[in-house]
Amino acid sequence: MRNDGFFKRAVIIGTVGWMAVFAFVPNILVFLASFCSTSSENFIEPGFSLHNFARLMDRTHLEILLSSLRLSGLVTFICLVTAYPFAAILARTRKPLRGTLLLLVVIPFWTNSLVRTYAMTAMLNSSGIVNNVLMSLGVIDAPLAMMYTPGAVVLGLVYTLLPFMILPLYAALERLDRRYLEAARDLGASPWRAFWRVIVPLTMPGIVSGCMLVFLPGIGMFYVSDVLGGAKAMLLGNFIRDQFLTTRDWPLGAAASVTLTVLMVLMLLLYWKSAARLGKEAA
Amino acid sequence: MADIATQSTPEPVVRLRNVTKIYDGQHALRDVSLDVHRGEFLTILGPSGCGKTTILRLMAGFEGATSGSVAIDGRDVTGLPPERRNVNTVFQSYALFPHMNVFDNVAFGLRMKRRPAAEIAREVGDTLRLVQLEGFEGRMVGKLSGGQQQRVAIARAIINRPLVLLLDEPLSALDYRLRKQMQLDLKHLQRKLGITFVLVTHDQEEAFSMSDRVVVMNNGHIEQIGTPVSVYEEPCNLYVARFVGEINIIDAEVVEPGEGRARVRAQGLDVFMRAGHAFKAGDKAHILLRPEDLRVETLKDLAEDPELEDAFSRGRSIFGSVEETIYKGATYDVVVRLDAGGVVTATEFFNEDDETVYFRAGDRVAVSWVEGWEVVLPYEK
Repeated sequence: MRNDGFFKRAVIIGTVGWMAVFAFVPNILVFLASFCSTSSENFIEPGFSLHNFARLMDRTHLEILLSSLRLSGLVTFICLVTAYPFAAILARTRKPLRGTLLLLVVIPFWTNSLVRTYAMTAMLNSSGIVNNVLMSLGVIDAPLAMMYTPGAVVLGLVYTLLPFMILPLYAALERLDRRYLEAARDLGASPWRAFWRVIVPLTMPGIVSGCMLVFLPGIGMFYVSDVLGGAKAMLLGNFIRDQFLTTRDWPLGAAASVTLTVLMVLMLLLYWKSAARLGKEAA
Repeated sequence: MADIATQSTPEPVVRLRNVTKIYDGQHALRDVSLDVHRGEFLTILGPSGCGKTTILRLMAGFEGATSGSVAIDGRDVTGLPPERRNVNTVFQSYALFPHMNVFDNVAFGLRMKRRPAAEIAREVGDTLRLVQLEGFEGRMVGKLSGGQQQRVAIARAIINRPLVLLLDEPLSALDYRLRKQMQLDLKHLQRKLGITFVLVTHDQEEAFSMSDRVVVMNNGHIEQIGTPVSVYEEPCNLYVARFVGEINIIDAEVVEPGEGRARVRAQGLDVFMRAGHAFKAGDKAHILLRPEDLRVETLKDLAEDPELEDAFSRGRSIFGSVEETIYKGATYDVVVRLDAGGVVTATEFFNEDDETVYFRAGDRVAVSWVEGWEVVLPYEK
């Protein structure tokens, strides 16, 4: 029993300590840095001003922010409409086959996503597989310029993030009692109306968490934009990275980071509120 | 088993003809034919896995028959999806929409029919009044008790004025007292609305107390269809006899068959008994007796009281020894080991005048019953 207590305490202290040193403290530092300024001698000059946040509100920065949100929104939408039918089929598939399909969804996680993103260049560049196949089929005469376009970035993000949409949707759909669907049909709803009136509302927690798991990383995954999108900074993540590593404007990068974090927190709150409401109703 | 369908009213509201349903190579239903009469309360009774829910799902349109036909209101509904059938279902677990309140749940069917909002509000109010849930409109269904959820489920179905209301073990989740109350409420509601009810249950008491007719099912086919009284008093085979209530089965041999009766030898008896089946001399048979139809007296009492003996022996007596008595509250069971082999159980009422009359293990007794209350069936393995 004493050993159990010790083990429990060790695990808790270890985890809390780890989180404090490597997550909480750095975040606090970033938060503080966002209110500081920079000078030629120091990356960070102590002080307090909202100057950095004001700079973020100028046109060029806002445009980066908005285009990043747009891009990530598009990625989220594509993931949602692709993953929902797949998850629905998965939830209805018989046990042994279902396990195999789930494994196929998870297998990409076994390879580093940066490596997988580089692998995509081999498919998309002018002498890549896609162009070769299309040309040999005679669909196109000259290679398509797919690399270094927003389309390539969207494709890369969708590819990387799709499992994060499938898994929560699958969990929600698998838990959904088929009788709700039958009840809706019994009461005169066509399959289409039963879907919108009953299935979508009842799987909303899965939809929201899937969207968050795709949308938020979609804003920050700068390496996908770097590898597939070229030099253009398309994501907020690229912008932040550039402030720290290229422009060396740490406070501005910190302010952008904080903005992103606040955005995430707001969306989490929204999710919790909707989940709590649904949970209360379902209980 | 004679098919009641052939002698029914001209147009049944639901007609199943030679329906077979196979799931994963297993027969859920085997050549089932059944007519549901307009306005009746029909109960499909059987153990779990006997196919009774499958019949309901075929009527509702959630499943299609492997072969055979289903007709509703004289129209073949093969391939017709549930939303286009004029029947509604009360599900076993109610399947109320958890993201909607009581009003929205009950209004769902009318909204699907795109009725005007004012009409929907009026109808929902009326229906909730009918199931005694006025004022619950704004409640979320998850906050309701089991009995209230049950009534919302009924309201949600009957508001659509279906030709047939299908109820899939609707009371199984309720506790005993509430179940009794809901049985009565359902019966009254059915009379008031005049809607045909088809209820599925494994509880014979529930089936008997509510239904006009009972369909006893076993292993994918129908064993017997009839009124509760006829099913209980005249079971057509041992399965039905055993499934609906307690039964004593005494092995016998037919000595001389007759018209509507047969001379039967069993337990030292050699008498004519009522027998609906066509027997041949020498056939083995079963005599079926309900415990409440049996009377038991000790040989000592009979010897001391000639009047009692006279009344008693006008029935037919078989002899044995009391093995044990089981107290049941209002009644008690006397378990008698018969001299010629076998055990019977008799249910006795307490004698208010003489509380000392109670059987003791080992008492020598005679068991008797009123002539004609027995059922004689062909021998089954």
